[in-house]
Amino acid sequence: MAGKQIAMGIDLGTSNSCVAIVEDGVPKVIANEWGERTHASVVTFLDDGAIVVGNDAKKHIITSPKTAIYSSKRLIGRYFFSEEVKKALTVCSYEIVEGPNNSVRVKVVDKVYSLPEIAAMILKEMRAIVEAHVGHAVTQAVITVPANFNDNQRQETKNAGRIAGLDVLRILNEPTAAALAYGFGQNLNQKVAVYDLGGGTFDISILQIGEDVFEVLSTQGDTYLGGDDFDERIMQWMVQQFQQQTGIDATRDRLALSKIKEAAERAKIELSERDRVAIHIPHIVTDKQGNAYELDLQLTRSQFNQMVMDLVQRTFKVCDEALQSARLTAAEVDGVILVGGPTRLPIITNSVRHYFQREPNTDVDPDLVVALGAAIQADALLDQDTNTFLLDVTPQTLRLGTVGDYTEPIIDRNTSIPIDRTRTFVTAADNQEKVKIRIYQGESRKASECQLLGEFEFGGLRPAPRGMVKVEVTFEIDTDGLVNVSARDVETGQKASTTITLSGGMSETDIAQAQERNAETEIARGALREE
Amino acid sequence: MDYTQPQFWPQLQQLAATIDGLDYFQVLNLPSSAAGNQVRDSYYGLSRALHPDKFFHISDEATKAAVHKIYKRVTEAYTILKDEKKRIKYLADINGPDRAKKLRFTEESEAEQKEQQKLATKVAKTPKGEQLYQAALLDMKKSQWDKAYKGIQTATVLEPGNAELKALLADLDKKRKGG
Repeated sequence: MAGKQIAMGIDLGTSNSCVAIVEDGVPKVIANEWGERTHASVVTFLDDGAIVVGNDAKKHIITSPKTAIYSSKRLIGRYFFSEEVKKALTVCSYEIVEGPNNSVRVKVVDKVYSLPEIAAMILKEMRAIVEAHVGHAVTQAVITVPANFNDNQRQETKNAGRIAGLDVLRILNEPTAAALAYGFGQNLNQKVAVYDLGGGTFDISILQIGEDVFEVLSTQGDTYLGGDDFDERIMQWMVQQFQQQTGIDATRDRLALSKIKEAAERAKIELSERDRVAIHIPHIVTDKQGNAYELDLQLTRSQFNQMVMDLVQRTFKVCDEALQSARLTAAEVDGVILVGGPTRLPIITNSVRHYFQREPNTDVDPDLVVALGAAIQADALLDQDTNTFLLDVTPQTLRLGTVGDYTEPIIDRNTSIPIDRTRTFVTAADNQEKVKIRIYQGESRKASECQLLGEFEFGGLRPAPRGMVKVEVTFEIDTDGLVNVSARDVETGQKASTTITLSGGMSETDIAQAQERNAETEIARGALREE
Repeated sequence: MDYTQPQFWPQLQQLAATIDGLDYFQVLNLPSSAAGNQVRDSYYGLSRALHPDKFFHISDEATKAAVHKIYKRVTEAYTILKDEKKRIKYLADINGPDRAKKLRFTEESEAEQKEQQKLATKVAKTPKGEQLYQAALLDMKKSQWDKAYKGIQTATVLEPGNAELKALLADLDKKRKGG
């Protein structure tokens, strides 16, 4: 193995993260020193200044609710005014503040962090796990994202990798990675559906596997639907029951809420194994008179199933759309792969079996399969002899802002990538110096219902009467699913200068500063293990 | 053939430089009668030979750029030719008098040529309304919001049931008040 480069595959999840590498031709998840293969995507800033990441960090959610940052993936690449951020402001125990250009920041005591910086700490920990295993530095990585992530979310994930000092070889879609782990080296010829229900997002991808070629026929997703929402249903029920019993509103107490959240998540997991669970929280709140209250409840599987039935049904609406787009019926699918911890829930497994009329594949571990696929792709990129080809699609329609609140499509969703399209613009005024365009992603004709990716200004146009200068703008979606925009004068071939005048993302200066800060940050490893 | 070998690089650069002169069938190495599975098979074959991932480890930037350009056109050709309706329309386009202009699928280029009229006919339904809308578009480009607002206001009087004009009017009202 000497001299062979190693690149890691990182599944940066909403709830849990996982890292894998290919060793001697076999993809393997790398465990940390304590044998843990999945790591809570939590970053906790302790009072003594130490920073912990992973399952240790998660233990502090209850005791340090304001400095334990969890589910931060739900916020990455979002604008401060978005629905998701508004919701997080009401349910998160840590402080979320507005940054420059409508961006989102997390405030921990007196320090403010961007979301890519938080993600970079998780990535740094994943990297440390691999480096401890192989015994030398590893900097190259493939990082996975939900298939339905838009350009802003992808870009910010890539920035997170750069901040962590990684050379990000590829931003890979999670369901595509899972399909790769499933079909790698098997010489399959079949159509597969990847049902990926993560902590915060749902994706369904339909793929055609032709031996070494993995072609995504369609992908569809909901970035507002995940296992967290299932926990939340249990939480709501617990709060309601507690209020009925005691008259106390537990949601007013952040510490109580953290305890409820933890108990809800545990109850959900236990319900996969049992028909009934006891939920007991001693000392949930103390009233003004100093009386302590406890919470004692019983939850049955069928009660839980009823609570979440509408969420489950929502996933199948998304499946309907994906199949329609791939021009297939559920019965034409040859294999179904389940991805994500929540797919272990019996209600999900049973519903998937019913929908596709077939037993879902159980050879792959739903918690590890994405990281394994990412490792295979990372290895394939470095190795000139490996032949695995991922032909992916763009999940959302790329749009150009026109007049008023309207947009028109440039590249439709589910178009194979990489691809480019060009549009020609003509100057509207004499001696016009610049052209400005806004681009969006989404499925609505109305700009306000789509996600703004940015405003681009193409400057330095040659002076001429109006209508005499034609500017050809090229919109490219690359193999990372990222959008690149460039422009040139049709007649002279001269490239126009491009300035991004509006964007919620990090600037190069921000990234450089964050890189320095990340390099200086030490993540405490194992210091808190002695218990 | 392993195109990642340096002896093929000049050939790849040559292909990238001349690819704008090829139609989609030529890009995919297919007869113009090809359809369905043949299109997919050719796409898979070319992906195995020319996917940018295969050239990931190569440091020659010119070759990488050439491969990228070629492969994007392969994807584009596949996207159009795998779609039955688009393939038929495309065949007619490249066998017509404007072949040279229509080597890349022209749903878009046609739309571009007609963009001005299309926008107008899409929004206004009367000739006078269309005229006012056109004039307002020009005013908007010059940021003359008041003028554009008045034009659209007149247009909404002509077409009281037109929701798009109404929405535009509301936007312009905000703009002229400095919104």
